[in-house]
Order: sequence, then C-alpha cells, then structure tokens
Amino acid sequence: MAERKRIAVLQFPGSNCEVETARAVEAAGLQAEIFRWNRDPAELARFDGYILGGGFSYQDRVRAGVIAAKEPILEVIVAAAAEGKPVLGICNGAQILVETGLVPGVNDRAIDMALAPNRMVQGGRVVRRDYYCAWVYVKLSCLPERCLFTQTLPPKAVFPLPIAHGEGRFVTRREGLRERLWAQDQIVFRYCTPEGEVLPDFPVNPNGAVDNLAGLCNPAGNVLALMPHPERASWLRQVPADLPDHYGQRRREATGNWAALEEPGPGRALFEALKRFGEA
Amino acid sequence: MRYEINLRVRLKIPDVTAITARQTLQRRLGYAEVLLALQREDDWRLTVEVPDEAAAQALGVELAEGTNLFVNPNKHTYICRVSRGHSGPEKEDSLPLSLAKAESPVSPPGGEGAIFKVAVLTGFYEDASASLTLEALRNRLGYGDPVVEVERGTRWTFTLRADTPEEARRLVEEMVVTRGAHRGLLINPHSQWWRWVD
Repeated sequence: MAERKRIAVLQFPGSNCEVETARAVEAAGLQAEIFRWNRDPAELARFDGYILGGGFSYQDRVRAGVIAAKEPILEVIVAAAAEGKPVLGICNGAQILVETGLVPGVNDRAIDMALAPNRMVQGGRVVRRDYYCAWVYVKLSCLPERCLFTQTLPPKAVFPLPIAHGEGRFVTRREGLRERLWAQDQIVFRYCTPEGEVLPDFPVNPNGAVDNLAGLCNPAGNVLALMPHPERASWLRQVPADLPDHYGQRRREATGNWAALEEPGPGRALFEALKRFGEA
Repeated sequence: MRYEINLRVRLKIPDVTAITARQTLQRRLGYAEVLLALQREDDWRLTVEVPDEAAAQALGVELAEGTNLFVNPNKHTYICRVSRGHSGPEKEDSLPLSLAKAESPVSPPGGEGAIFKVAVLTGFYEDASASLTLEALRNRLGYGDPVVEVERGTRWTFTLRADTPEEARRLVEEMVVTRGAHRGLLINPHSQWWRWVD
C-alpha cells in the first residue's frame, strides 16, 4: 500500500481552523499534521503539500495576514510552491498568500492585490460592511485542470461553501492585472447564484470583490488563495438543510441517517484533488 | 466658521499592534539598526461649523469625553487640537503624548546619524467607520449640522536613526508601503492610503 502523502496544516498564533482542516485532509485519504509556526522551518520542507488555514493570525494586527506573511516559515512555502508543491490558503490563509505575493504571483512576488474590508453593494448603494458569515455559491471559472485543487470538479461546477470573514474583498490598483488574470485563466472561483449566474450585487457577491472573485491561483496553478472554507463543507452533515439546491435536498433526506450524513460534502473535492496530485 | 478638530487617541496599556509592527520591521524586514521606536494612535479629524475656536475646542473635548465613540477612558488617553488659527490648549487626561514633529533631529545616544521622528497617517479607502461615526454624531447623538465631516486614520510615529531628513523619510516610506514580501508593512497600496503628517 502506497504511503499517504503528508500535508502540513500551518498554525500561527491566532489560527483557529487547523483541527477541522486537518480532519478534512485526513478524510480525503491524506496524512495531515498541524505544524506550528515556530518549529524548525527545515522540517516543513519535507511535506508534500501545505495548507494555510483560517483564523486571525497575529490577531489581524496591522492588517489581516500581513504579519504571518513576513514569518521565515513562509520562505519554505515560497520555495515549495516554486517546486510545484500544492499550497492552499483558506480565508486567513488566502490573505497571507496575497500578502506574500504568491497570489496572484505574476510580478516576481510583488504585492499586486489586497483583500480589503468587505463592502456589500446593492443597486449601487452600500448596504452593509465588514464581517459576514453565510453559505454562498461559487462557480468554477477556469478549466478544471488549470488549478491543482480543482481537478476532480466538473467544468463550470457550481456548489455551496461557507464564508466567514471581514476582509475578503479581492481588489487591485495594478493597471491591467484583471485582464491578465483572465487571460492567464487564474480566476478559479467566482461567487454566483445557486444556478451559476454571476451577479455583482450582494448577497450573490457577499463582500464586493472585483469580478466576484472568491479564489485565485498562481500562474502555475499549484497555489490557490480561497476565501470560502471547504473544510467546513467536507461532510454532508455540515451542509445547511435549507440550501435550495441538491446538496440541501440530500441533507434533508439524510436527516437521522448517520451513514448518509457522513458522506462527502461539496468542499471535499478540493482535498481529493490534493490527494490525486502526483498519482497520475 | 469652520474648524478642524484633531483627536489623537492612544492606548494607555501597551499597544501590541505597534509592538508587533515594530518587531516585524526590526526582525523580519531588516530595520533593527535604524528603527528605534514606533507609536500608533487613532487619528480622527472632524470638520465642524462653530462660532469660534473656543467653541471648537470645547466641542472636541465633549465629543471625546461624552460620546463613547472615540475614547474609552479606561484604556485610552487623547489630545484634542483645533487647527484653524493658533491651536487651543491641549487636553490631556493622563499620560502626556509626545507631540513629535516630523524631522526633528536630536543628538543620538550612541552610534551614527541623528535621530528623527517622522509621522504618517494611514487608512483604508472607503473606510466605513468615518461615515458611520458622522451619521451617529449628526443623528443619533444629536450634534446635527455643526459636525460637517469626519475622517479617520491611523497615525504612526517613527523614531529612527538616519543621516539626513531625506533619508529618514525614504526609510519611513519603505517601511510603510508594502510593495513585496520583504518590502514594507503598514499599508497595502491596493486597499489603503497614506500621507505625511506633521
């Protein structure tokens, strides 16, 4: 039997999703280890892949993700990403990847984007701001094989995931960057309706992100910065029963049936893709 | 007459955000030799329409001490300055603040170069807190039309070693604007603004 791949789930002071992220990784058939930020960085290099999970690293001091982005341990992640190893940043992890310049990663690690405070807009009016926690829908916007973490998804897949953040609005002032991201097919996930329609207004676009961006990858496709939380959608039992799609229907039908509730949820596919990486 | 009330609010307790920022600049970004101290304050600028400077000063103190929007007396100290004409008397409630002016060299305690204090103001584009505060002051708290505008920022005061004022400013700009993984910290230019302040 082949040895399971080892995935490091990074833990910074203030991370708060490492345990459920490790569970989601294990459920996909991988070996997960929570790796504290102050361990020897050389140990980190031995892992096969990396996940920077959600939370509030360093209490979001100065700006979400920026202090963790300066930690020496991130240099190991940068080197691993350059070797083609998978790196997934979820929520606060996505903020860290953007602040390191790994995502979008088109200008030699220049900081080309920010994850700004949420700003929800309806009909041109700002109707809400800052922290927001809800289940939303995302649509796969690149080809499945373009990003390492989407290889098990069907083209144009639409599925629900939970979000919980105050600073998740992808923005950029770099001229021409949006066009470049589209041209290079780096836009992985966009917020959409349950039917897959991408509408700019809240609540379809839950934070006001430019182009409804929910997830972006680097040019090589092995690093993904994702604001929603797939680890909180890895089992059917985590899915709300009132979702208006087939996941909601399955969840309602599974009520009281423990075996059915333990079936994979919509977020599992990203971790299964991580397992598939390197098997081909 | 229009006056600008500047409320600068600072923690009495140790400011862990300022400490973390300073340590990151010193230990991770290579400024250990030049950066001596870093201080952070909330900086509120309120444009008010009142008869005279004394009224502006009184209103500033009242807003700071009576609204619970700007100052929590259990953990904050503040100063209130009115900008039009000569500044009114400063209001301090406990700890005196260092009113450092930008580019004021003093003799260094050791090493080379002079010591400068340089301050910048930073903030988020489309910051909601300023407009929400304005709305609260004008409507819910009943201050009405005299409060015309509210601006909020974070004031960072750097104490650093440099050979010239120009070099001090260059170093501060490097530390403020995040341009790469190892370049800059305090603002992300895609979501935040900054400017020099006296």
